[in-house]
Amino acid sequence: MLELNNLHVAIGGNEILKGIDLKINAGEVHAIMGPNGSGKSTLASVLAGREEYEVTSGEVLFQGENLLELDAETRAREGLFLAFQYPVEIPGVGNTYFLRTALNAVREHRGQAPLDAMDFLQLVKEKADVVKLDPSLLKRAVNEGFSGGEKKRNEIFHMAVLEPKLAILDETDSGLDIDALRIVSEGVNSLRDSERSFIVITHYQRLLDHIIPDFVHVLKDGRIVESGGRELALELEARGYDWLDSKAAVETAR
Amino acid sequence: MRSTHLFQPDLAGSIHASPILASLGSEARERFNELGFPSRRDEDWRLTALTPVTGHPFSRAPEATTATEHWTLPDAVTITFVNDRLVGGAAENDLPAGITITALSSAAQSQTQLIEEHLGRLASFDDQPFVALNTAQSLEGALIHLAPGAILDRPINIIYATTGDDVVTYPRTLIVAEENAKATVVETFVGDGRSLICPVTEIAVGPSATLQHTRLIELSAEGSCIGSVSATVERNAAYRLSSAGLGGSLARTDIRVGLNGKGADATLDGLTLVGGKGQGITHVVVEHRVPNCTSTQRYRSVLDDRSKAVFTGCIIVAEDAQKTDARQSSRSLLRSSDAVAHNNPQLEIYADDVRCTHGSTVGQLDEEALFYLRARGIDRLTAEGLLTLAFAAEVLEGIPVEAVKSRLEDQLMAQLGPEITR
Repeated sequence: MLELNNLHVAIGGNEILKGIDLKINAGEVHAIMGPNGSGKSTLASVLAGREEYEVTSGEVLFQGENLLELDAETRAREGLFLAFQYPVEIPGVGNTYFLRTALNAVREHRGQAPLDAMDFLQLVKEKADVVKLDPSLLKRAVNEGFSGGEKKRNEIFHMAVLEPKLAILDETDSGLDIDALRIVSEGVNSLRDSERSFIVITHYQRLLDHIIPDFVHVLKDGRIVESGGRELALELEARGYDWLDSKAAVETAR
Repeated sequence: MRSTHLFQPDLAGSIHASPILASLGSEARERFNELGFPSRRDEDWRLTALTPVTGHPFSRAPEATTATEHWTLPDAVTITFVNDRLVGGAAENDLPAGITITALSSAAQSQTQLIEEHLGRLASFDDQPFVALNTAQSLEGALIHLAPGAILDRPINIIYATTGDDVVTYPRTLIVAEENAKATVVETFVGDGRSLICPVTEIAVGPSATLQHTRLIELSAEGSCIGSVSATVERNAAYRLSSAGLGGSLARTDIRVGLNGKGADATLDGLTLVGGKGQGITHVVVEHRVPNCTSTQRYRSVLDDRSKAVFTGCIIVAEDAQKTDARQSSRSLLRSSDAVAHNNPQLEIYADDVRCTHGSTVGQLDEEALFYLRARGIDRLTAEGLLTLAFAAEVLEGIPVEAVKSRLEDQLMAQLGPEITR
């Protein structure tokens, strides 16, 4: 599904990612954890196609194709989805109207006919239910005046409608109370299947109590310093991130 | 000065059969001769480059020889003028009692009292050269009269089409809504060639009356329009104006509204879309003459290429106009780094117990929002179009006639981005 080989990324001359190797197969859920400033969100942004980041070396293959050559909209149409850490408020653009424009762009790319208004409304109703999105939010402008939790739910709702092949959740748990966290996680879990992969970026392990990952990677100072199974997340919860420093130091010394 | 201009209006002799129009016309002609065309030394015209108008040998538009195609508002009472001549009248329209729509040339014979009382009285040609020019030159237009309590639920669509190159037209509208009357009027000004339209619209909104007024100006890339709207609003009456100007080489509108009776309200919205080297210019003066009146101005401009937009919005609050509530906002969206927008709020407040707010911004498309849309699969051009439409939404929402609103949205998208499936 996704393969990162020795990915180096800089912004404004500062190197943020310093050689990331990562392979994600279809159907897998990978959690990426790490302290603030470790490069987690940079990784999400680069994969989604933010143009201000510069890839200085390495490659990213998405379904065997060079992802870095594609612009953001083409990546989305190819099936990559980023759930934003800070979803953007867009006054004047209706949530439903926006989503229909997006879905039909994706469908056109896949060679499918556009959905008409009736079929689309049916789909939207169904998917809004998955994340228990208040139907009145569908009539509002995109994210405008939404609470933090509503914005995150709206992201997962968009994901449910667009049905991506690879979804990247960038700190989707931040700002959520425990109930919202559960609802958002259930939404994500309902979309898990053997074909769809997820990258779950989070600072805290509590999200991973709800979305159980297959693999956990720890990102520190632009490098993946540790990879393991779900138990790694629990260990991080218990011991924090600092023990990895001494471990890395020992390994470097060797 | 006038001799240096290529546009030299033919001001010789009287053009009107009706004595009322003839005497008004000659008064205005004299005044125009004194004023001449404005220059950039006049403060009000400092930011208007008049060359597209004065630098071109326009002559009065001849009768059109071929039928013109233009958009007509569905389900409306329609009156159509082409090149200042009535071609489709309201006569065939079935109007409720108390409502008349008459060509001005006939009204000058049949509704002399209304004409004498209002025509040329609301739009001052003393200090507005182009109003003087229109008043001197105008041959035809529409008079809409709503008797006390008359209510029309269908909109009235007045179409002024100007067809041909190097021609000038002088459309003239007078709307008189008496006490408790209510109507919606959509004026459409269309120019299909290298033409100049100089319209004047005068409006009297009587006590407790409501007038919803929409003005659409649709010009070809080489077309120009210099127009004015003057309205007076009496006690507890409401005047609501939505203007939209699309394209053109020079489109300027001067709007003057006087709030004359307690409880009067004026809501003025405008949307200007300019591209190429076009200029979109709006000057608004709202005068609060008595206490307890409200006014709102919301103006938006969208600029592409090397275009220029100017908004000057003046709020005047007279000495005894206490409890005035006046609001103004103007925002410009620069879609090109070569475009220039000027927003000039002006407040002249002589009363002390008032609330006046104004705000203006000039900005570009929000890169974060653009990325968000693109990251969901929407291409850049469409995303830019959507955000521009969103920028204009506040003004579009205020348009009272749904068909006008969707036509404007379609036209905007056609100019801004690829077609979006609705």
